[in-house]
Amino acid sequence: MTEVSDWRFRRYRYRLIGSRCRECGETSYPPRRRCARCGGATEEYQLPRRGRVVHYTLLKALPTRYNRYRPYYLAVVELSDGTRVIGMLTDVDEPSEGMEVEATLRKLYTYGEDGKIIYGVKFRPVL
Amino acid sequence: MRPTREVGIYGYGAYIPRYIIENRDIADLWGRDATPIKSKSFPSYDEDTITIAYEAALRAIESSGADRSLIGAVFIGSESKPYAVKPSGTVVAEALGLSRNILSADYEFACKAGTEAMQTVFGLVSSGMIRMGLAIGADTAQGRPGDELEYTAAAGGAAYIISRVEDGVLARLEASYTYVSDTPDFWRRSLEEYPRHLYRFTGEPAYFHHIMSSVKGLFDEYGYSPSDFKYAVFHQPNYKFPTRVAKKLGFTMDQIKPGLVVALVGNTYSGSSLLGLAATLDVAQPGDKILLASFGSGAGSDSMVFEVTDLIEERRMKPPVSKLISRMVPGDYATYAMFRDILRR
Ligand SMILES: [Zn+2]
Repeated sequence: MTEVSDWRFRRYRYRLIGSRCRECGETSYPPRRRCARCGGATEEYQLPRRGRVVHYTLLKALPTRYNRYRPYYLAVVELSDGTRVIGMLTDVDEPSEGMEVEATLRKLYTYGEDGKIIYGVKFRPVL
Repeated sequence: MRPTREVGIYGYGAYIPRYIIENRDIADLWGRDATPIKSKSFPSYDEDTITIAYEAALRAIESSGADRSLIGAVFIGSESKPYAVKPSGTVVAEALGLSRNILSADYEFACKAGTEAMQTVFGLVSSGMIRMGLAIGADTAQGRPGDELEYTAAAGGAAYIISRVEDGVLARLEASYTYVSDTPDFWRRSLEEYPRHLYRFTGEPAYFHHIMSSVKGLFDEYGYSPSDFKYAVFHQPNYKFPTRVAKKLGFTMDQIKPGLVVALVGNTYSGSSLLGLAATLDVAQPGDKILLASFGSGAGSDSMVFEVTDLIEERRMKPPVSKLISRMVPGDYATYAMFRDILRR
């Protein structure tokens, strides 16, 4: 990733915008051009913000730009419409399977002291 | 001030980070006895003014059901902008999915920048230049380790969607007032990490003089008195100042209590009085009048009068400020120092 390619993805990073298959309705995040299930054409789709933790794992070894932000939990979250997405958890001490979470905007990492701050969706326990 | 076409609050939202540090822990570290408040909030390692502004604004939109496409302005008042140059509002607007035809700027007037943003949006909405606008006050305030401000400088914010009264508001703006003067009570020079303050100016010449002048000016011009109000909210740099200014102006403890969140949350700077207003709207009933008076160092105060309408019940913020506070968990000084980037690996 660079400061430029990070910017290009901001739309999907900021807002949980995924894709939905025009043929079979399969949803995915991040968005895909072609449906993973039937190969059909897709359209942009706003995913719901709420969901539940299905699996999680603690990540410790990360690129240096994550230094301030490690370790963190990476989780598979099943959103309320059934879509499964992979996302970082925040504001959790110890996650649990089934934990109710909602998407919010947090800092993902920064490019050094004078570089861009990259923001994106993370999941935290429902307020 | 009274806008020509009537405006008010369409929706409101607030946000406080999850972590608090006890004043006792800070005082023990520096060998001090007295503490100004009980605890203060601090941002997680991945939070800043932009993410706090986003959380507050999102809650305002979702709780009120406001149509995002009608929002024509995002003004964020803060003294802790993540970028010295690069607007916070454009990130917040894109993350919220707002239109690209929006006015946006970051406002700075120490702790008064949030109400300054509200005054601006009142004017823009009333004139018809925009249909609705977001005014946000949010901060992750800095206090030098060991300094007096370290006990109170906290993180949090609140957001207000302003619309014309005919679009349906939960509180109607009756009047506002402002009072400013060049007073050197507190400042932070460009490129400096921490602010400085002149103790000589902090209380009477700054906080008390400006809030009293702004509230008295408002009362004189529009004929209000303290008994007209069910509630009052004053800027909360600590517990003592707002309770004393309320008393001096003739308000009772019952009037200020619902909005007085400083003892547990701390001083959220640009978010402070707006967070107090949110906590007050959480409990207000139709017909209640609320006085809001901010204070910003440098110095100035905005005061505003709102009357709550029948729409309050359906538009109340979910969850309320009390829930945001009750979910908070204590962190020790080491966690605080790491999350605040005072201590680095
Ligand atoms: Zn398909």
